[in-house]
Amino acid sequence: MPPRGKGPTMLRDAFFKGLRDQRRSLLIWVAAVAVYVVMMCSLFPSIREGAADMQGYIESMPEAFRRAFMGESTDFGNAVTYLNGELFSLMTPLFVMIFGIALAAAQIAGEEENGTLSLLLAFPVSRARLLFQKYGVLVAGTVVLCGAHLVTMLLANAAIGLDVAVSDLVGAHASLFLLALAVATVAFAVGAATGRRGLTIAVGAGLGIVSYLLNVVAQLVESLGWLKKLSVFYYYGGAEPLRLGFRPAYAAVLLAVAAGALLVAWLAFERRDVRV
Amino acid sequence: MTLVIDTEHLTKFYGSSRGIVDVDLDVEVGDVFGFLGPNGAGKTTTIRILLDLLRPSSGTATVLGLDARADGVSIRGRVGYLPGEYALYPRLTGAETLRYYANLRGGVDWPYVDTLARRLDFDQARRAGDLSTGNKRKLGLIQAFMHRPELLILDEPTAGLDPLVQREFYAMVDEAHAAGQTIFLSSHVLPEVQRVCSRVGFVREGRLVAVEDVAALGKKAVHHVEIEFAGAAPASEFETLAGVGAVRATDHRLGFTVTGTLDAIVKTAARHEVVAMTSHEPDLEDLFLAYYGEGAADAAAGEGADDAA
Ligand SMILES: Nc1ncnc2c1ncn2[C@@H]1O[C@H](COP(=O)(O)OP(=O)(O)OP(=O)(O)O)[C@@H](O)[C@H]1O
Ligand SMILES: [Mg+2]
Repeated sequence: MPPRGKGPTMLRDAFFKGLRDQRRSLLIWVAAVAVYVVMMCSLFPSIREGAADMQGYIESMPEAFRRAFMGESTDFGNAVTYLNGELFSLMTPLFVMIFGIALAAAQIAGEEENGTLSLLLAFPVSRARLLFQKYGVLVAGTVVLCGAHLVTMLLANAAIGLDVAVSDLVGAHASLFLLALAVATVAFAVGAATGRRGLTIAVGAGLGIVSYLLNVVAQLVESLGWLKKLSVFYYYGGAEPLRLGFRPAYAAVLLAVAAGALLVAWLAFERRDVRV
Repeated sequence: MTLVIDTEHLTKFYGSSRGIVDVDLDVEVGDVFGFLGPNGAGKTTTIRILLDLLRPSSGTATVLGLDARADGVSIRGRVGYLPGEYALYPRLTGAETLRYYANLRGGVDWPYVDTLARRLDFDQARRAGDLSTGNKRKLGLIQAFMHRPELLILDEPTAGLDPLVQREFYAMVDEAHAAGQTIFLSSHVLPEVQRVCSRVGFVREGRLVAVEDVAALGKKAVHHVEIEFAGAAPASEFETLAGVGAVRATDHRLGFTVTGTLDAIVKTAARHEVVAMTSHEPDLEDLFLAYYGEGAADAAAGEGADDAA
């Protein structure tokens, strides 16, 4: 028998191979997110003490500005408001989107730019099969990271006594996952259609940034309110997904973006030439 | 006789730049077919269309009786392919890489993989990222041969291999041929094609300009000969010999080309004191010109045979 590598079953197909490739990076991301969540949650009790003073300050801000970045509630003594402001309005979606985009770029585009794709396609595996296995890696990675965020938060919630309803936490994380998935799938489609890693990252990051800005601008400028409908961030819950909870109709929009992008990825990858 | 590879009017443009034009290729069962041509001739383009990595601009390609586009998966199940250029996963060892490829393929006989690795002197324990060019090529060859495919499509299989490994590779091709496998390989070098192939196709500027039996080639082969004499070079004695051309003489040295055998040259030279004598293998271009005349080169370049006459 040939010397078997570590976990030979992980080399059974492109999906498991993809997970194997990501195990180190995934571990680091999960650890980083967990540390960040624990840190932010454990700051809450001391913030709560000073919340009354802060509220005056927060309410003195222009209302449109406040709503754009913090949502409805001004009471930082409430854990939901605090977690929305500190995590869900920017940092957490930023983390998972960066992760998702990087992971998307490592799939078809990554293999093509590294030069491993031309051998990979020499085997009796259809392009569709390869594409969906690669996409599976993206979905699995995003589930794991969002799952780690959720689990850490559930533990912190119980340990620190944040008093946030478990169903709200689960709902917000479902929205978070769908946001990351939508953005990452668009990036994945660019990679599948062009095989360019740089372009994949640029389009993914562009979508994330533009969406965030559109949503903010829509809140700040009343006449541009309709713009928020163009933003994936809006369907995620904007600055306050934890207060808004899981909204099936909004979630469906994010899911539709992901599904549409996946369809484009498939059609484009089936039709095009593969580079050396 | 069934055709293992059959292309008709196969044409590929990369945007507006020419890849291949109107390639009609017939490779029969049991052939060892050499696909010979200079850089940029279109060898890799043709091969990548056969593997469904590229989609032709027009024309059709059939491999093992199946449509290259529609039946790509079944074709690739029965073909062993060595790409001209490829990268490996730097963090996987050779064994892990081969294991992955074998899993993607399914039904690979592992002891045979080990046998191939031993034959090519390939160290499976090293990480692919640490492999030299030649060793990467060996891994590529092993994966192409590992399932004893009906058809081997090898894009410049010996590029980067040392002579010893090259010889082992030639032996592997001979054995595959003896076992009834069909081999289609691309190359820049005629001696290699003459050594292993039964038929050769010449590609130039995107066109398949000729297909010949290798056995017939030697008779028209052109050698470059240089002789250094102790005395003055007797140019006149050589100029008149049949098949000799392009004679250049300096004080003691004589250089010329010979079409056909070297017999008359050696006998003429033997009448003088010879210090040194070298004979180069005929190169592709010379052979091509000897075979098809100057006009063929222009015709291949798409200028039209008429202007060149
Ligand atoms: N991706 C591409 N984009 C544009 N032109 C290309 C591309 N790939 C190949 N070509 C062009 O197509 C022609 C044929 O190239 P091909 O790689 O098939 O040649 P080749 O015979 O394999 O050459 P070599 O011996 O150097 O490997 C060349 O003129 C090349 O410049
Ligand atoms: Mg080539």
